[in-house]
Amino acid sequence: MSRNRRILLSLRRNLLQAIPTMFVIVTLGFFLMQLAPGDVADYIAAETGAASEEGIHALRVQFGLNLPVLEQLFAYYDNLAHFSLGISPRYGAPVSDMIMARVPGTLLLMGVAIAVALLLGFAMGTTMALLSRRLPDRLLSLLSLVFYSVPTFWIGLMLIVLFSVHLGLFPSGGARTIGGPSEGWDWFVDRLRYITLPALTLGLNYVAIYARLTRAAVIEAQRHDYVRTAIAKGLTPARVIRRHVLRNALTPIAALTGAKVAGMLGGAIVVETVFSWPGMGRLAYEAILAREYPVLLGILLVSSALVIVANALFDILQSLLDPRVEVS
Amino acid sequence: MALAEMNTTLAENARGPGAGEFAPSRKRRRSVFFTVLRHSGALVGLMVLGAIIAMAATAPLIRPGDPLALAGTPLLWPGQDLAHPLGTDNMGRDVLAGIMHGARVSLLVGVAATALGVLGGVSVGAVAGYFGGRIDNLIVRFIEIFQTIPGFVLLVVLVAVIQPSIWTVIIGIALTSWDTIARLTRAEFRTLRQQDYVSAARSVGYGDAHIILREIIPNALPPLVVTATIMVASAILSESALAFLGLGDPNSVSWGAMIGTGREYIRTHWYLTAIPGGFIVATVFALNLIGDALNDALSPHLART
Repeated sequence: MSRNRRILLSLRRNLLQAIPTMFVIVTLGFFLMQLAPGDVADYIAAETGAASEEGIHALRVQFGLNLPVLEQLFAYYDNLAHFSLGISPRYGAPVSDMIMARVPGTLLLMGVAIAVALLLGFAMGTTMALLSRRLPDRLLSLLSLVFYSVPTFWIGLMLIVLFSVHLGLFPSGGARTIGGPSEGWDWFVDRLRYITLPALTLGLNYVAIYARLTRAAVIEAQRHDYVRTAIAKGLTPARVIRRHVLRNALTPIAALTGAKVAGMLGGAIVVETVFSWPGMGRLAYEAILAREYPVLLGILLVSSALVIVANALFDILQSLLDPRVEVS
Repeated sequence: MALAEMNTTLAENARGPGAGEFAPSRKRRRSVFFTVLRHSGALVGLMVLGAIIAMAATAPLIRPGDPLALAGTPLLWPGQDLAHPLGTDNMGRDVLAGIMHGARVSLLVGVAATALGVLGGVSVGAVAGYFGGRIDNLIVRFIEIFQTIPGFVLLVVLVAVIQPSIWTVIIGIALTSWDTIARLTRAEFRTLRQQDYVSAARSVGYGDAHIILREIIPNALPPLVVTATIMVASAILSESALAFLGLGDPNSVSWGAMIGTGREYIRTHWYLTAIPGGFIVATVFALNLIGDALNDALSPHLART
C-alpha cells in the first residue's frame, strides 16, 4: 500500500468516526446546560441589576429560550452547523471568536510541553535502563513517581516561588513582555522566558510517563539481535541508543502521546490559570468565575474536536513511523 | 445422586487445581500480601497513607470545631506560635486544622468517587466483554466517545453547571473516570470468558449472573485492584484541582482550596501554598507506590524488568 493511500484511509476512518462522536458530545453538552440553574436571560438580568419581568421575557424570546427544549436543541444544531457557538451574554461577543482567539496559545503551550517532556523523559528513561536495577535507576524511578504524583497547579506555584520570586530568572505569568520586542532573536528569547515555566509544569506528569516507557523500551531492545549487531560493528553507545533503540520506541510513544492529548487539555486549564497564560484554559477559568456557561460548553466542544484532530494526526504519524501499523 | 448435588460436585471440581486460575488458594493470597510488604516502596506508601488516615480520623479530637473559623492572629508563620504549629492563613484560620479536616475530604472524595467509578465501569465492561456482539460494539463506541472528551474539562463544566458540593464533585469524578476501568474489565472478560472453567460452569447450568459474579470477576480482580488504587490517587488530584479553581464544596475545607487561597499570598507567605500541596503529594505518592507494588505482586508476568 502506498504511503499516500495509507494516509487517506486513516483520515477517512477517523472522519467517519468523528461525525457520530461529535454528534453525541454536542447533544450531551446541550442537555448538560439544561441542568444549570437559571438561563442566559436570568444572568443578563442579574448583571444589569434592574430588569422587569417583561424585560426578562423579552430576552427569553430573543434567545429562543421560550421554545420547547427539542426546538432549542435543533436551533443549537443549526447554529453549530454554521460554526456558531452562540453569543457570550456578558461580553456580547460570539463565543466561537472568543475561543478561537485562545486556541493557538493552548496549542503552543501543549506542543512545547510535549517537547520538554520527551527530551527529559528520553534522558531519564535511557539512564534508568542502562543502569537498570542499580541505585540511580531506583532513585530516578522514585523521582518519576513523584513527578507523576504532583498536582500540576501546585508545582507551577512552587516553580514561581523559586524561579520568579526568589531567583528572578523567569516571569511569573503572561505570555510576553508588554511593549517588549516584537521580532527577531529578542522576541524569541522573550517568548521563551515566558513559556519555560508553564511548559515545564504541564509537561512534568508526562516526563514520568515517557521515562517509564523509554526505560522499558530500551531494556527490551537490548535483548535484540540488531542491537547486538550495531554494538558489534563498533557504533558508539550513544549512537546505538539514538539510531536503533529509541527509534523503535517512537511508535509506542506516538501512540501514547496521542492518547494523552485529552488529559493535557484538562491540565492546561489549571496551568494556564496559574501562569495567566492567554489560552483556552484561562478562558475556562474566567468563564467559571463569570458563570458564562455558553463559553464553558463551547470550550468543551472545541477541546473535544481538538482531541479528534490530534488523534487523527497521531494515527497518521504512527502509520508513517511503523508501516506495519494496520490501517483498516 | 440428585441433580442439584451433581451440579455442586461438578462446580467444585471446576474450582480444583488444573481448572484454570480460579479461587486463589489461601497460600497464594498470603504470598501476595508478603510480596507487597517486602517491597520497601509499598511499606513506605502504607505508612504514609496510614498517617494520613490517622490524621483524618483524629481531626475532630485534635482540632475540634469548624476549621474555617477564625483561630488566631492572621498570617503567622509555622513555628511562630506553638498554638498554631503550621501557622495561620490570611483569615486567621489554623493551617493544621485545615490540613487535618482537609484529609477527610480528600480521602472521602478519593474513595467514594473510585467506588462509584469502579461500580459503573465494571458493570458496563462486564456486560460488553461477556456478551460481546452488538451490545459490545455499542458500548465500545460509547467508551470511545467518552475518551474523546477531555475528562477534566468535562468535570469542570459539569461541576460548574450543577453547582459545586462534595457530592457533585464525587459524582463528577466518577463520571469522568469509569471509562478506564470499563475498558480494562471488558478486555479481562473477553479473555477469561473463553477459559475452561467458564465453559465448565456453563455446562453445569449456571446462569450468566452467576458466571459473571462468581467465576469471572474474582479472576479479573488483580488488574482491577491495581487500577482502582491509581484511580483513588487521580481522584484526589482531580478534587484538589477543582477546589483550586474555586469549584470545591464551599462549606468544607479542602487542600486544593487552601492552595487557591494561599496563592494570593505567594510572594510573602509561600508556606500557605507549600504545606497543603506537600500533603497532596504525600498522599498521592503513597497511593501510587502501593499501586506499583500491587502491580508487581499481583501480575508477575507484567512485573517491571
